[in-house]
Amino acid sequence: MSRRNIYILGGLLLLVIVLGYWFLVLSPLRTRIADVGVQIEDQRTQLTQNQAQLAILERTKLDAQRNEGRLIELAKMMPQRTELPSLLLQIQDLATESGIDFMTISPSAPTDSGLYQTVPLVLTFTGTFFDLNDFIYRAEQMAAGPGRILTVKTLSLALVADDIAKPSPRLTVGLTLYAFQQGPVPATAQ
Amino acid sequence: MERRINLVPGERRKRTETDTGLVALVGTAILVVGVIVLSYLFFNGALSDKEAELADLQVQNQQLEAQLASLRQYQELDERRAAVEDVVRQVYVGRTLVSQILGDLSLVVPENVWMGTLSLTASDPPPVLSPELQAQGSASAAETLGSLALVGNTYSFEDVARLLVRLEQIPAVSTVSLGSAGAPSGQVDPTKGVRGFTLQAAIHNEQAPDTQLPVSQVEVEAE
Repeated sequence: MSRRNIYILGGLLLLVIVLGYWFLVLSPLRTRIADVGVQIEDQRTQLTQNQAQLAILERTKLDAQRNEGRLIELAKMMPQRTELPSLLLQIQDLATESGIDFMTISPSAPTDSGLYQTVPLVLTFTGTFFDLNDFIYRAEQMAAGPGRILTVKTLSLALVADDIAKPSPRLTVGLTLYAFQQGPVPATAQ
Repeated sequence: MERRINLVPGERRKRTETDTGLVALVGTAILVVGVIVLSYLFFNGALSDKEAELADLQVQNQQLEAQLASLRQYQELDERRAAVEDVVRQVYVGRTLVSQILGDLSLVVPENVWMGTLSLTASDPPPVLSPELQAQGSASAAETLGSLALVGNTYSFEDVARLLVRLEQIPAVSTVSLGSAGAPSGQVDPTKGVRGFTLQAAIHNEQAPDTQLPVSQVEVEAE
């Protein structure tokens, strides 16, 4: 074999080794390094997000007792069920405090209003205008107790015939009160 | 030491010389192999470092995720409290405060006017829609007005006019209109010149939309 051929063969062999190294070893290695670099960036981003989320959740943990207490208060304002017995007692208390002696109460079935339900209560009683206004005021402010949220839907007053000449005549009162109860739980709370 | 003598004639001797091409080839081969080995060591080391860093980050993230999972219940509690509070607040704010209207009414009725009947219908608190329904574009019902109807008596049309003007001063009352005035309603003394009237008006919710629920009475002791 001539010297020239030996040079050519040697050069070709070196070229094959370099190309083989480049394509079979170095390129996959660099690709793998790049992939791992991307994964590291993803993990760093996730780490930052997790740390921020952790800070938020640690604050909510500190608020947990307050949240539980607030939920109990909210359930008093708007319970998850009708809870008619306690509602009747609360209305009876309001009537007594307002000076109203006799009252009839007729509850109706709850009706849906989106995420809450309305419980109509028809009340009839006799009392003076100021007794009535005191009763309605106490009913509307009962939520601050905290107690049930109540609102007046309809009100009809008529003078008792015998009391027309009196300075503070009695009125026959027909009143529809709305109490409320929680409806389906919102999706965010599930 | 004996001296070695080449007996081949000078013109017949094979010329000895250094094969520089082969030397260059071998040198290049050594250089190439060296570069290959060094670059491999360098890149492999870099890969090992990055894989170690990645593993460390993955461990940190797993630890954080375990912590987050243990704290998730508090987030759910907070979200539930916020969702329920929002519904309750919307109902609370959506009420028409009738006691306020009756209180104002008692202040504006002239002395010589007395009511025979009063009928009041308040608007319903608006329905509260779930976020899904809101996203689907189900608009909340627009605020509807309530109504107020008064039937009463007095001694002159002047008092009826005064009542009409004064009713307009009540913030929750608007669109006051006179249904009729003249014939008295109910049993009255015909000798006293009693004038009857019927009035209608619209009533609406006067609470500010950003009214908050009563302040929580929950007190939590510091740990």
